[in-house]
Amino acid sequence: MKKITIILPIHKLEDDDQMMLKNAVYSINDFHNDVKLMIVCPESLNTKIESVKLSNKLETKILYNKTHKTDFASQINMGIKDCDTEWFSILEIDDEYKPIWLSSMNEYMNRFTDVNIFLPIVKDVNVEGKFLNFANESVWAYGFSKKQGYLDNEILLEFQNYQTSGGLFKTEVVKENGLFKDNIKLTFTYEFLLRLTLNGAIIMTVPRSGYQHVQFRENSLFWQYKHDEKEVLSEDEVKFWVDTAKKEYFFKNKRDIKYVKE
Amino acid sequence: MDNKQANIELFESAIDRLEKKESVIYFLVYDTKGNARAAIKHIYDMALALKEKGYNAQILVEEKKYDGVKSWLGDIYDSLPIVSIKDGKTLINIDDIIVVPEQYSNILPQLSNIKSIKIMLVQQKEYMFETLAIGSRWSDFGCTKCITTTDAAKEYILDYFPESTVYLIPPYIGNNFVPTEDPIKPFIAISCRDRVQHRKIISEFYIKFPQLRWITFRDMVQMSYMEFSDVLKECMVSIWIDDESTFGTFPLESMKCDVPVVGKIPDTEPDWLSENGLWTYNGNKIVELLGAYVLAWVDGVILTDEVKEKMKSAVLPYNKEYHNERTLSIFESLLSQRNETIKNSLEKLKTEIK
Repeated sequence: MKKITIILPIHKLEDDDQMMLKNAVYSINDFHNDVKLMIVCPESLNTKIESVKLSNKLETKILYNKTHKTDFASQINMGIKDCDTEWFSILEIDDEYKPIWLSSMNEYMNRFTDVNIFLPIVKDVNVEGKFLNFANESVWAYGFSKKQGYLDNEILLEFQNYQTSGGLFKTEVVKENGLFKDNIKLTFTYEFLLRLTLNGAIIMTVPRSGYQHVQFRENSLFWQYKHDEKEVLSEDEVKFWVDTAKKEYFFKNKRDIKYVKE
Repeated sequence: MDNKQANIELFESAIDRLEKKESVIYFLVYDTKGNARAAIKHIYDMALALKEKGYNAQILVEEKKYDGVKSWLGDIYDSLPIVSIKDGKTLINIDDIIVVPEQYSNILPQLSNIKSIKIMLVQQKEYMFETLAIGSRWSDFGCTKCITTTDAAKEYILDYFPESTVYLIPPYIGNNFVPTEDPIKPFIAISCRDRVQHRKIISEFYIKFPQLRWITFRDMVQMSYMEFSDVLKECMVSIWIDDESTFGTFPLESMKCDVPVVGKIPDTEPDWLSENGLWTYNGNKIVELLGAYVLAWVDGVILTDEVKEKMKSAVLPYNKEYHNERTLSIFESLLSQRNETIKNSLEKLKTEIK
């Protein structure tokens, strides 16, 4: 029985997206003994997705989203709810796992049995694949967190830049503590980590670069926040969503939140 | 009683002590004031190997107040008696041995009238002449025997003191140095003789590889022996810069833990040096090599079995069994030669009296 579900949410599937999807799926092909793939996508994409030749090796499930909420957080939540494995991970369509991901995660999972979430070191690259920076690595810096290698609530309150994609999450712990809050813009992963650490989840970074993330790909969610006229976030709004995350993490379920321009 | 009769008694009691293994083997050591020193451990190891075989090995120190090695080596050397030169009770007989480390070359003139076996112990060949009067030789003070730790050091000693008999006793790398079963941590063990170099390497590394500022350097000083091995084994790589090194204990300890070494080749190449690490003659290349290795490690590169095998082979000869065997055989042969010499002298003296 597979122990990890990799949840891959898809919002749309143009030609470029299909290439990226193939690439993302290819990056987990060699993990087929331990992982299964769950693609979550709007029902409207059923013909398109079924025409994409993915992997013969991977156990793959396509979960069609019949609701109108096809944003990243909502689709991940659908995947988590449907997940029947002990662990799950999140793969973004334009990202990829590195070959070291599974073996390094297994090594740490077997040794640190009390840890609920393992984050890899994420290598952020630009669209040309050029290295920009690492993410999740700072917890290993001497004197940074209370326990070297671990991410705690206190650190999160000060630093927001932790990547959940590529992380390995204990399904039960996440289901118990609530899923992503899809009404929080920009900082929904931040709020999620704050909430998990508040409720005692133990988060550790595996000091290996197991995941590659493309930053600011055109039309990606975060690109839109910066460049799309309809979606662009002002400085005030960014601050609002950071502050919101810091308030909302005390609540398991989402509450009504609305940003009102002053 | 005339001199000859007195000498007969002296020789007879010396033979008696030698045969009962009561002759003292003094190992002169300096006080490290609780700081770990591989050179001192090596001396204690030789003494212990002899003590465990029933020889009367003792640690000889200068001052009455001596901190000892318990704080950093634990209690395994507790059986070794410690005697001080300054308590005035130390009597060195003709059947005794005194082992003098190179730092104490300056006491050789004081030992010149003592007829015991005198052995120089050279672990740092660079310091061989440091306290020896300029232009003088060990043999000027009746010392023609030497123990050292490497072939290169032996060659060097024989080049300057060809009249010496040089024995090799390399230190051994303890069995507490084993690969960890836990995941390796993003730590770099750093060992530089010069603290200026130490700071320079760390600063250069963080400046040249700002994306690796989260990597921790572990300063391998002021730790007990066990703590030292525990810290070393969890590191991903170690750095070694010690131009004056003769033997090179730290890189071997590192290799025994399966921790690869990025190192500057010292002025005297260690006997064990081969393709068993990332070695360079150019100190300015160290940071570059280190950065490349760390980035590869973060990306998931693991040591190949071939590299591990080379590291294992480098350490293989430096085990406790070999060390103890060698120590015993050298000291036993020295004591046995001395026994023969005294017996011959006694025989000669008795013949003269008749």
